[in-house]
Amino acid sequence: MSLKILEYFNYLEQKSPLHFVDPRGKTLFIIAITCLTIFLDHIIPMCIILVIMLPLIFLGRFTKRWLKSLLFLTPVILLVVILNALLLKVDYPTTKAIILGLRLIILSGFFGLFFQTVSPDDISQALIKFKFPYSFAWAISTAYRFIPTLAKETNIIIDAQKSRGLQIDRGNLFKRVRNMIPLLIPIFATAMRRSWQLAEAIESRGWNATKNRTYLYSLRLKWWDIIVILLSLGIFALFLYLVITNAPLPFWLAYNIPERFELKRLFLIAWTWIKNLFS
Amino acid sequence: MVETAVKIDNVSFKYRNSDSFALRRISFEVAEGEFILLAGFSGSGKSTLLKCLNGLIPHFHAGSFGGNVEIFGKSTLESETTQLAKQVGFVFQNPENQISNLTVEREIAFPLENFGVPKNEIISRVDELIALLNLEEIKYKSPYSISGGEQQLTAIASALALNPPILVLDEVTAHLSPRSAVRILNLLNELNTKHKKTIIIAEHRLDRCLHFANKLAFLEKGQLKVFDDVRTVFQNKEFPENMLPKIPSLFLKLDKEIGLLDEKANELPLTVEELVATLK
Repeated sequence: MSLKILEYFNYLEQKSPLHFVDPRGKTLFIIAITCLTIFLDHIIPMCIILVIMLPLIFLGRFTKRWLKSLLFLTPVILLVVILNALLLKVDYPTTKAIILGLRLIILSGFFGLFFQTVSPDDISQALIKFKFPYSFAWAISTAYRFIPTLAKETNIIIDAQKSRGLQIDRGNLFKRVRNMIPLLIPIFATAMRRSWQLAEAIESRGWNATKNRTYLYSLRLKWWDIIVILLSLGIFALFLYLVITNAPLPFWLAYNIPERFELKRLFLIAWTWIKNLFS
Repeated sequence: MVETAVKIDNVSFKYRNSDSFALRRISFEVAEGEFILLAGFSGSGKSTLLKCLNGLIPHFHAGSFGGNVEIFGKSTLESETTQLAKQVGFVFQNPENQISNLTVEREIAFPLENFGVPKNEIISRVDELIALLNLEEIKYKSPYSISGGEQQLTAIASALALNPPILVLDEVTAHLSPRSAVRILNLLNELNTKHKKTIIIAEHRLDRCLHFANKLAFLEKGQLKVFDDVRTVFQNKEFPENMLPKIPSLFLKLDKEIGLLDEKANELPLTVEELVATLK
């Protein structure tokens, strides 16, 4: 079991152009693009989104991390695509399965990019701008901030328990779940102790001393943020248009993999060929 | 006249769900500008006592609290911990668990923001503290990417942001390398001597900060066994032999053999230099 995948979705202090975009703009963009990606049901539009995403990943200096995260996700994506292509009972199951795979790749890319370029403080500031109470905004950003710390501690606990003979990856599913108990107790205890100490520390430094809290830094929209917000609204409007009108896509966008290339069919041909080979 | 900064009067405390008292009838006073060392074995109640000083006990930790703690004449029972932050700066043992902001600069600004200090004042106060603690190089760095010593310096700077006259530190060198520990302790000495801060510190490694301290309090099983001047406290039989710092211990052993203390009463050396000078 490895929590290394989480490392690819952490905030990274860098000076990429995307780091300078207001978190509100990025949040709107991620919501709009997620809605569109989940709604779209054709390969070509998904590929277009993927192609648009690639320069953004490059701009956000996320390329290496994204590719590494894809390495972790590849088995899952392959499993999803193959199982769906073989088991789905719809027209063009292979097309649908590939769309699912593309959806996973696109969402992992956009969400990874979002988390890498939006700092916990930005999240907190954005929530405050949206009139959320400060304590709520602080709790959200702190929870997000502590993910890598807790992941690191969890790995230490796993190593410590393994070194004392705990076999996490052995046995059937039920046994593996039962093996997790010696991990969960120390992980939970550590997290509790950490949160308790943090609460003491912030209380000792005047937490909520006044209702008129001031901020060293606060968010201000720049011209490029307005462009991102307008673009996000445009994507969201397109999504709403497609949902409400259920308009069919032009034929060149609505491409499906021909039936002769259906994975199920290819699988059956291969199976028959292998059977004939050995009979 | 020197004012009493801290007055602990007959303080007892028992944590909820605990069978025994963590503190038992503790009384002592700390004058403004003093450097107090709090010593004791693990579980002796040092941290609990320190938490009484900024009101975390009884406001934050549930339990049975008896007695009274006064900070500059005002009982901690009357003020919330949050309000006491202006009087008492508190630094905890584990630096990682007390940091809650993304950059060193923001971490130092955190208490000032909490009190609604105007932005321009926050900037000047943060810069002042960064210069005082030599944190210029890490000002914009993440507190998670710096060393333990730098993290602890950041925590001290944050505790000093509101300019409290009293600074309370709970084993702040426990997680640090010897070099970082010395840097922190020297800084505390400077804060005490130059900036007239009252320092109360729980510390295991007495050797390192003994010569800075005015008085030493020794706790055992929640009871105050000894509270005296650092130069006389080690002659008290209540102070455990296995906790004696190196130089005073060596001197007392020599005294047993050749009777040095009779001639040099109250001149217990605390450092190598003082030992050499005394023997000369």
